[in-house]
Amino acid sequence: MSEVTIEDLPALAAGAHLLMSGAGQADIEGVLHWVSALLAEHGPVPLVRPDDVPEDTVCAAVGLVGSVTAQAELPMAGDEPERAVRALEARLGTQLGAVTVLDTATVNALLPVAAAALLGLPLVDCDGMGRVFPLIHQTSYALAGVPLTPLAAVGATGDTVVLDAADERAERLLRAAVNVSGGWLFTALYPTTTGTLPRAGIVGAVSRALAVGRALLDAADVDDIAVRLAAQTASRVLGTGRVVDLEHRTRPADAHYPAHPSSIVVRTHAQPVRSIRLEAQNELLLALVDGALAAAVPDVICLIDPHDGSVIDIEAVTVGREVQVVTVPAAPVWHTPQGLALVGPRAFGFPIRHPREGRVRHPGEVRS
Amino acid sequence: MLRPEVALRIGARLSGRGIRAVLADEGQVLARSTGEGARAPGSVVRELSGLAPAPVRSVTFDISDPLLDAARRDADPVSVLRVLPRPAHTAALAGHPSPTLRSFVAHRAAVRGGHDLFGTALAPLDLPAAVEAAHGARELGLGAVAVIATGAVGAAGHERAVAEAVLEAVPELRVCLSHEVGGVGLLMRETAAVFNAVLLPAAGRLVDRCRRAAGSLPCWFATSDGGRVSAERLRALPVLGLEAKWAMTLLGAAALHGHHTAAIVARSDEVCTIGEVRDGLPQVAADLPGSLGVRLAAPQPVLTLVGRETFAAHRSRWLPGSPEIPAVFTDGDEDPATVGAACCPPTAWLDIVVHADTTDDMRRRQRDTEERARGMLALSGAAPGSERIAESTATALSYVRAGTYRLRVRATARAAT
Amino acid sequence: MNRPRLPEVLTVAELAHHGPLGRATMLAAAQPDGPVHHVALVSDLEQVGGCRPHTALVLHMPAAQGGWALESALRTAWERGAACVIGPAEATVNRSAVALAERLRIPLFIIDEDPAQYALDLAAAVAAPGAARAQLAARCAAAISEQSSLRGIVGVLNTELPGATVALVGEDGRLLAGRSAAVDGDVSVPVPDVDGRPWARLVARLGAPSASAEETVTTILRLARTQLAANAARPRLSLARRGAQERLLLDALLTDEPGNEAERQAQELGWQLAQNVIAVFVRPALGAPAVAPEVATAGVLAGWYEEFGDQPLVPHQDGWVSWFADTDARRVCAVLRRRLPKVRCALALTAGLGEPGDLRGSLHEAALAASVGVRGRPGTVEYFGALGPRVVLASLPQEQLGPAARSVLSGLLSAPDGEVLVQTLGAVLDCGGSTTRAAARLGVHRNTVSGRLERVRARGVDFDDPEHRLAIHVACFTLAGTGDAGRDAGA
Repeated sequence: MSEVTIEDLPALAAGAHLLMSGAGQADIEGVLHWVSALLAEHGPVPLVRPDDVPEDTVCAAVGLVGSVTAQAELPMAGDEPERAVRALEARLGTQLGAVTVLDTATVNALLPVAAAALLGLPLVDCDGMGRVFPLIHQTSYALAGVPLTPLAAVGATGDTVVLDAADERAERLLRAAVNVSGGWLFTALYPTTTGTLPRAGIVGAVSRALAVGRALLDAADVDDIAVRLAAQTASRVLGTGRVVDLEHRTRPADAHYPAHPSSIVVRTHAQPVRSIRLEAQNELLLALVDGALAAAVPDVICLIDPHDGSVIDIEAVTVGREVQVVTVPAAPVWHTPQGLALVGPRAFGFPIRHPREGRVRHPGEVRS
Repeated sequence: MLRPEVALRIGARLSGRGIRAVLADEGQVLARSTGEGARAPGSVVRELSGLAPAPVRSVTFDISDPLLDAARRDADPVSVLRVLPRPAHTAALAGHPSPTLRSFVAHRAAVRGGHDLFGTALAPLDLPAAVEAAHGARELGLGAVAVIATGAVGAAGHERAVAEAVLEAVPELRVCLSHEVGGVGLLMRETAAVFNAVLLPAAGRLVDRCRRAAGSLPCWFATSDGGRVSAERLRALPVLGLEAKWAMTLLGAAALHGHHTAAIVARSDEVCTIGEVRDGLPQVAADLPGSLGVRLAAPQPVLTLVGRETFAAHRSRWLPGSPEIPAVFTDGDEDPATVGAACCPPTAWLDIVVHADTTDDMRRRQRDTEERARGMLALSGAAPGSERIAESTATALSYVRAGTYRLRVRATARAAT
Repeated sequence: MNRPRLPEVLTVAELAHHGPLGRATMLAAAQPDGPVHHVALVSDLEQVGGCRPHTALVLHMPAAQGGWALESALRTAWERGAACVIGPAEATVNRSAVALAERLRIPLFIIDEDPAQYALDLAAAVAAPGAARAQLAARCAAAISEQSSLRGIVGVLNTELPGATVALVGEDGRLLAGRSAAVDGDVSVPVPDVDGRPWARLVARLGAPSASAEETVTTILRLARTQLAANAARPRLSLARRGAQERLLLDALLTDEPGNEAERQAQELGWQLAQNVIAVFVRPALGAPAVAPEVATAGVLAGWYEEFGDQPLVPHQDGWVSWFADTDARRVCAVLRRRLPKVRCALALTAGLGEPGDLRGSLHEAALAASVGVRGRPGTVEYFGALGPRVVLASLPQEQLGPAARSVLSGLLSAPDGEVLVQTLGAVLDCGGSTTRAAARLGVHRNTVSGRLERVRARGVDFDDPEHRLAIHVACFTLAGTGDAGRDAGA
């Protein structure tokens, strides 16, 4: 058993930023400040492995559903975690004994720490994504058959939503509520017991985000980041170069996904010069190097500033900006056939195979 | 290169009690002058005007140093009024995460109201509470209040309504509104609005002093995005000029070396400060922490700081290395910031969130925003017809309604005066 | 050796030039010479991975939806060795896709019609290359028939033949028209003159040599032959005839008492011989390749008239004679120095100028000056009045000195490369013994010159002996001037 302390928070935030896979981080200093104050007041939050607690301990994942940019514009009031968890407990008729994490990306790595501190509960070192995905049913929890609902959500306006629905319906209903609540809702969902987490959750996700964050913060320069990150996560650098093009709506939008697709084209510096095309919709989903698929969702694709090693968000990308394109492999559960069916390239409208699926070899191939 | 006509301008930098100024035609420095004391600006401007072989078109002042001094030393605290659907439950969320910013705030209140990013009101505006908060600020002897409404970047109605009500009820209180600087993110806009409120008195004094020094010459003020604004605009929004020094340094270094696009390496004793100028404008970004260490919604130059030795050992890492972007080195001896002030163009910057259902709709909104930016240039003395859009990007916002875009438009023009 | 006959295949360039790809917009033209064996209509990106090499890929939505999809298709097409990629008009084509196509050297086209129908058209053209070629042949034949000059005809060939460059080369190896890059080309078609004798060759260099492309090009080159021969015959024949007639006339005029008839003919030709003239004697530079006299005359006359307009040039002895009605020899000399090198013909020319005077006298001096001029670089023009002491050399009775010179240098001349040794020795003596300068003049390495000198000494010619030196120098000079030791010495 370990714990999350105030000192851990900057690393957790940095790691969570990278695991956004390029999606907008916005300003999380307000949230960081608040969570630090909570830990100062309540002490460190216990970070437990699922088998550290009795297996019938009731738990639920917590996190923000919606836009972090919207949350930066409309900050939390501070009572949302407690209200959401209490509303879920009322619907379940039982109290939670632990909280777990929806996804360890951006504020969603920090908010469960806040919830655990406010509620006096341990935090289970486990999440449902190992990164971020746009839809709330794109989780290992759902893959393992843990029902998404009942869920309870509370927004900045103080409204509370309690939902009972099938997973995909829940996503759409909650999205509608998010859109009229200022762009985000703090949500408690996937109620289950800790006994299911070893097979249903991505165990160790919080520790991994911390390790990634430390690699980013402790590194001397961008080369050092690459080395440390590769040691922690088997990441790869796809190339470093300058953004030469930004395009919008380059693909037809899937009505189920919030936000519209866009593309970023990077021309690398090193010889031979290559063109890296990044396809984004919320997150960076595909990286093609000279047209060849080099990385694809569910693996994390992110942009790092080669000058200072900071993570660059898609929203902050401008033509002319220097970037290093890095890919971090997803949790193993996502590379299974079921995992790729839920969050592989085809789930995002790309009619291609993930590199892990291997390519169909055709007779008489002329070049490799 | 032969220019069809000379365009002589004076660029001046105020620093401490001193002033340094140049008379320049673009990157061609014709004369330099320095002075110290209260009367120095006027005599320096007169001296350079007297040396000019042709009429001087204008004088542009960079007052970022005295503004920063004012913020650091003799700033009067201000009041902050947030407009949100619900007040924060804890002090950590009610206040600002930056201790620097908190040190400027002596009084804080939150009233109901605000809009979402799509322009829909989240709660009815509680005007009586706003007026009550203003009275509270006045009772503490505060001279200014910064008003920050959530969603004001897309719908500024609540901020304006608060300003009207407060000014009517407490006319002696000065009001700074967050949407006037723009940018997405309540805390970053709060920073900008608080700095504006804090700097109002100092900015007023400095602007008056510069205008007197300029005499009959048109008088402009350098801004952090590498442009210039009118005296009236800087008086109201001093935060725009807070980081002008580095923007002017980058511009001036490029101009001195005759480049429109260049990577600038400014060397001091121990540190190299690296920035870039593209097409005659410094590369800038919103939401950077500036000299005061607080993230700000206003655009500032993108700078990289490297130790001199580290830079010398790994030059290629910091320089683009492409022939289109030559590297320019400056040691500060030639005071490039004054040259930058002499040749900075009128600029406009808009950073807003819009909602568009179709691509055509988005393009239309983008064009409208570009038009607005062009319009703003006129207020900074743009030569009619010379306006151009230097940058215009639309980025889809993540995890919100499809069709929500952040539009960033940067416009520039040739200076008429 | 029997070359196996390849199946007839059209290239991308051919399809773009005279096939259905002509209707498409070409966005990236890299490597257009690849053959197209198959056509595939692709609506799913994974199908691209299954295409056979040399396939023209016609993309159907959604395989081309989004810039990434097009780039992915280009990449897989490259991996599969596809011939080209053809996208629908709705495809998102951006700079990076075009740049990628160029980098991978995959031709990229966009069509503004139904991809399925288009793929059928393309497949039909690929299946019947003969039809497309017949169409091309018909088009070329029509265009060639409208041309009335060699250049015009060869120009048509260069424009119309996809991926090929064409030149018309004379039997003497001289480029008559077209592009010099094609001179050593893969395809060569003899072009006889109107009388059926060998006259020239049409040569084509193929961008991507293949049996089928060779055949198409050969067919079309053959089409052009008759028109070429007809156009070439006229000026060439008349030049050769004119040269022969004028040579006789000039010989008659140079006799002690030219008859009235000759003077009348000269007048008819517009030859101005009454007043002072400056004679010019033009000779091929030493070392110029041997060319049959009548061929050389026709070529030199054609080149001369092209450069000097109506200025007469008449064959005379071992060169050609012209004369200028001028009294300023230096001005004429300057004109010649500037323009003689520009005369387009297979021979490198040199010239000598006489002093102003009557034609006979001036011509005598011009011939002497020319005998010095031939030893210089191509384009050298010597003026008799500026020869200085060299006039002695120019006036040497070379015909009479020849036997003595051959005898003196017989030791060298008996060597297999005797002429080379004589010329090398002459150059070294001309250069005051400097092997470096001699090497530069001969265009060979200094060590080569040193080596040759060693062999000269080994053959008993002691040119270092002051008593023999002048005699040996004169002997070398004489032999070089008579052409006995002047050929290919620098090779």
